[in-house]
Amino acid sequence: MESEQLFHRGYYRNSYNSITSASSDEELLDGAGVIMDFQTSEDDNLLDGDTVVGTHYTMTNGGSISSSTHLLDLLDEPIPGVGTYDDFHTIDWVRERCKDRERHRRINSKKKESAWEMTKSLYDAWSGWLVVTLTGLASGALAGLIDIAADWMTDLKEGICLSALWYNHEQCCWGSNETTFEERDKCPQWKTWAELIIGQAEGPGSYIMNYIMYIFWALSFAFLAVSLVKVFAPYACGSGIPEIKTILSGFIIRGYLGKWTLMIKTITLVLAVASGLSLGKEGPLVHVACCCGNIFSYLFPKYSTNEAKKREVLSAASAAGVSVAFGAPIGGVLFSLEEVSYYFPLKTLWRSFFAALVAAFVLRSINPFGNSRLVLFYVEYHTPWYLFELFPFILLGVFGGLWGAFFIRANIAWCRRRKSTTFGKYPVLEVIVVAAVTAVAAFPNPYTRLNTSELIKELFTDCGPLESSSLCDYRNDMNASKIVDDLPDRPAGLGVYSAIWQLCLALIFKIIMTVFTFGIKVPSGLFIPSMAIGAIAGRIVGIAVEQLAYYHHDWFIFKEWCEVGADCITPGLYAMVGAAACLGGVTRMTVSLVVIVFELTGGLEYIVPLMAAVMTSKWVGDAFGREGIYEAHIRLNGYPFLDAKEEFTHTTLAADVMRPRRSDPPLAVLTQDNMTVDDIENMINETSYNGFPVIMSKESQRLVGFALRRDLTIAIESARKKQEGTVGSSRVCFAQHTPSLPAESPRPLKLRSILDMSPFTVTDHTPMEIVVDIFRKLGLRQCLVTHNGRLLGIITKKDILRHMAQTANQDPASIMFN
Amino acid sequence: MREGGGTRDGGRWPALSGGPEARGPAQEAPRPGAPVWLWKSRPGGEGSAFADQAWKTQDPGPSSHPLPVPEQGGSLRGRGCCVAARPFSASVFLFQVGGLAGPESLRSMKLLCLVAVVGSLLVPPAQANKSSEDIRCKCICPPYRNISGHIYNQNVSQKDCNCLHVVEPMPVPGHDVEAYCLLCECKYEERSTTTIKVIIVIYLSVVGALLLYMAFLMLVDPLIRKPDAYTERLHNEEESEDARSVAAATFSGPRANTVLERVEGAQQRWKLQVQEQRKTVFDRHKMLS
Repeated sequence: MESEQLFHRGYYRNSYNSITSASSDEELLDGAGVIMDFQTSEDDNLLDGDTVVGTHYTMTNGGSISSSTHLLDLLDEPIPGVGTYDDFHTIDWVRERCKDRERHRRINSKKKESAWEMTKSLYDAWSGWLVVTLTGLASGALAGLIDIAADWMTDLKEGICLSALWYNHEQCCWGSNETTFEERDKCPQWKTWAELIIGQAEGPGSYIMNYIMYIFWALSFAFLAVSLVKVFAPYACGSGIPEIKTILSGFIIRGYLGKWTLMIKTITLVLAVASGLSLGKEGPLVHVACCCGNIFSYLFPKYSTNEAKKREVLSAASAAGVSVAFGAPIGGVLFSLEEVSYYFPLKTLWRSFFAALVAAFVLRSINPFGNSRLVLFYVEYHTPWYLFELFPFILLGVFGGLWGAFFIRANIAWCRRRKSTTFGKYPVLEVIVVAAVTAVAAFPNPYTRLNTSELIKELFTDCGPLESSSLCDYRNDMNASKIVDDLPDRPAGLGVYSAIWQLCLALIFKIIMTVFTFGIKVPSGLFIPSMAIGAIAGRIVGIAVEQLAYYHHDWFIFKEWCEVGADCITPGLYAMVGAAACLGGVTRMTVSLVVIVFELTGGLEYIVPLMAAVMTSKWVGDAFGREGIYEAHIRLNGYPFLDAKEEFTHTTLAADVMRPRRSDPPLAVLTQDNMTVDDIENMINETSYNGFPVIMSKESQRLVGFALRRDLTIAIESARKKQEGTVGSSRVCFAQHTPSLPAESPRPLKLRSILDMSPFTVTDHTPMEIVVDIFRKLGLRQCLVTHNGRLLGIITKKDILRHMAQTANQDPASIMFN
Repeated sequence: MREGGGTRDGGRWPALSGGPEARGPAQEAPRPGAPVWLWKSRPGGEGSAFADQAWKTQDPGPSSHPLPVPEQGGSLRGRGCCVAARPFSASVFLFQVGGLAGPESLRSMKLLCLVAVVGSLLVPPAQANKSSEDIRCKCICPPYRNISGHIYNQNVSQKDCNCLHVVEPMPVPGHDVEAYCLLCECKYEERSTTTIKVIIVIYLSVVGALLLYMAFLMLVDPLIRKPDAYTERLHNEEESEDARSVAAATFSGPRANTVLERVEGAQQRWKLQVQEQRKTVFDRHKMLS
């Protein structure tokens, strides 16, 4: 410590000397008077170096408030509220991380003192794992609740189980012996609405009755969902992933991860899925899991008081969310890493892994689908694939990329319309209209009438001897005695052809409806509809290739593998590849998507086809626009999200981006010891800046530190209440030593404790590439710009975002939330 | 790319310093992990007798018990009802407390409730022993020669879940049984009726309660509240919004004498927050559009 001080002293002396001796350019700029000022200020610094005790050195960053060096200073005891953030503000990662290290050090140093302190430090060390365990438990349980309730309500649109009202269709016929091979889901316990109301199960009358009841239930579920969202928690609408991405990158949206959002999202998600809208529950489940993470982090002071630490928990929670949504724990961890997280150290990776595991375990023990799996559409193949099949797989990848590009364009255009025109004023009406159109168009087609997850399951499942759906209506040669486990390629029967027609119609229907559905004011995920579109397209391609191989097995590509009687094409596999490609085209995920799909199927041998399709779809999609749907929505809403994937290549300098611009009034600054409380309050009221640099004096413009607006407001307010003699004319002092004041003046107000004394600075000639990199990697909120050591301006994260929007020829005013 | 220079530095630091914190639990992790691994590794599952056997030995709960006799099943179901009642009341409690959102003292209580709900959701699958309606062995037999396809469904234990035990009456003569049974696929499945019932009841009661509350807020509340007092209070709230954390203590301090008033204040605060959210989302279209 001593040597450090010596070093510091030496450093100050040196710099002092260099300034005084080599001040020719200084003179040019400022004249001699300023140099005099420098001398005094440097003396000040020297004094600081002498008095400051070593521990203070570590605390200078981040407005640490428990400094033990100023025992006389009343305000050095923590002021409640200092160091927190306002709604819609950006957090300062550096400051938060420093705060956490400081806290950690404090606990560690106390550890040896007593057994109680030891316990406290153990609890502190464990709290990270505890909070992810609780998060995993809660998100697994909620996912189970959502799955079971959504299944039940979806089937409620068709009919009801008279023997036990709480069973869905499948559970109702669970123990029934009356099911037949052809009609597996019919049993006397399950009554359709037509049977109950008009008493007949067949015929046009019952069809119309069922149709009406279907529309009625769909509309009432949708209406209930949107009114609950509107009345109790408006933040519960949408998929939530763009917002969570923004929050994880360091943005505050109060209430977005709160209790009410959690409850309403869980409740309305079930209603939205059950209403038959073209949406899925996977994205919202990530939001639900993040709400759990946020709520549980309030139990532990380590996480509740530190925004950066809280975001580590949220990263783990989003992994748990995907883990239960797809039954893919590893995929969830990778999703968190690839798609949502911004800051992902190794420790968070392990916690995400653990949270995903706990959540999957809980969901498995609830066993919501009765198939001992975490998802409805778990499939298992063991048929091999052949090299020539890569061609159709890549074709599917191209389709997925085109679909992704089209969807992003169309959906963003529609959402922009909603945002900017009066049409956005009627959210309830919009949901009702979309639900009505969906229900009316969906009922006649058996493939769209199904719950989307079930549709995906049916498309993924391969036609074995046990299947009896029309999709598996192949013409059999009747010498069936040599039936083996996998059937050879067969000519398609009439059922398959009609099924293909229906699937084509379903494809068009899904494509149109999904564009209009994503973004309406109910919880709506995108994964399931995208996967359904891909699965439909894939299945159609699969059947086409299969028939081609059957009728032209002498073509040279088929000759080697597809002999008569061989089973070489698996249409279900095509459906799966198509689903992955379409999802990849929309979200532009790669690694995590392949892992998720491969965990869904449990077949390692399909990794290469999946990778080929997903990569192709990403390339094709990127050719039309580089951003995925979530980034596009972030940009549409103008969230301050600094994407780590984007590259900044312009040659601008920091001076071009910083505020104030040339025509603007000078920067609003505070001086360290000659402003009064009234001056500061005036400045706070007149400007809307979120922070003010503190300088030595107006003449020297030398930087001392940075004070945040919120901290200033809170500190002054609490000083007026608690500290005797604080009036409007009291001096405010940010310096170490109070200046000598006339005897009759009021007691000065010391605010050094809220001052960030190590703000980041760059010189005005720093290239913006470097500045952007600093902001991304350190997660800064603002950075001060100096010229010859003098404060010149400030660059905030939002300035950078505006600048990036400008260089990309977009409207810089679209970056909102100042 | 994502965690280059600076971020990595910042990221690694706590991991290194927090040695015990990072290492201790990591060693613990495999223990809860083990069952998941077992279940994931269950190959192909239902069809293969070996896999079923392996699974069964690992499963400490249900399958090691003999098949419950009917009256035992009945008593178990009775216990299930108690379980059903508990989370139900807890969730209603959660809802009520949640509705009053706000004061710090209530927060931990609410969290406890949430934990209780989660816990009680987990209890049923653990407790629910296999009553006769919770297990089935379903055999699907495809068309064979001139016999059409058929589905057989019986309540038998896992070890008896194969074609020979379940397919009754056997539609083929003795020498063909083996060939026929090779085609059939038998699946042993379990479910928990208690869990389903509990979840549906919880869900419907929460929806019902929310509907009632919504009706109350929209119809009754504006009538019983004097309009001027209402807006004045809202105005007060708005002022205190800026420095909420500081003002919160003073605001709720002198005025909140009784529990009722505190509840009232919390409710007003919550309403204001929702109003603000509604403005952001629906009117200004700043978010989520």
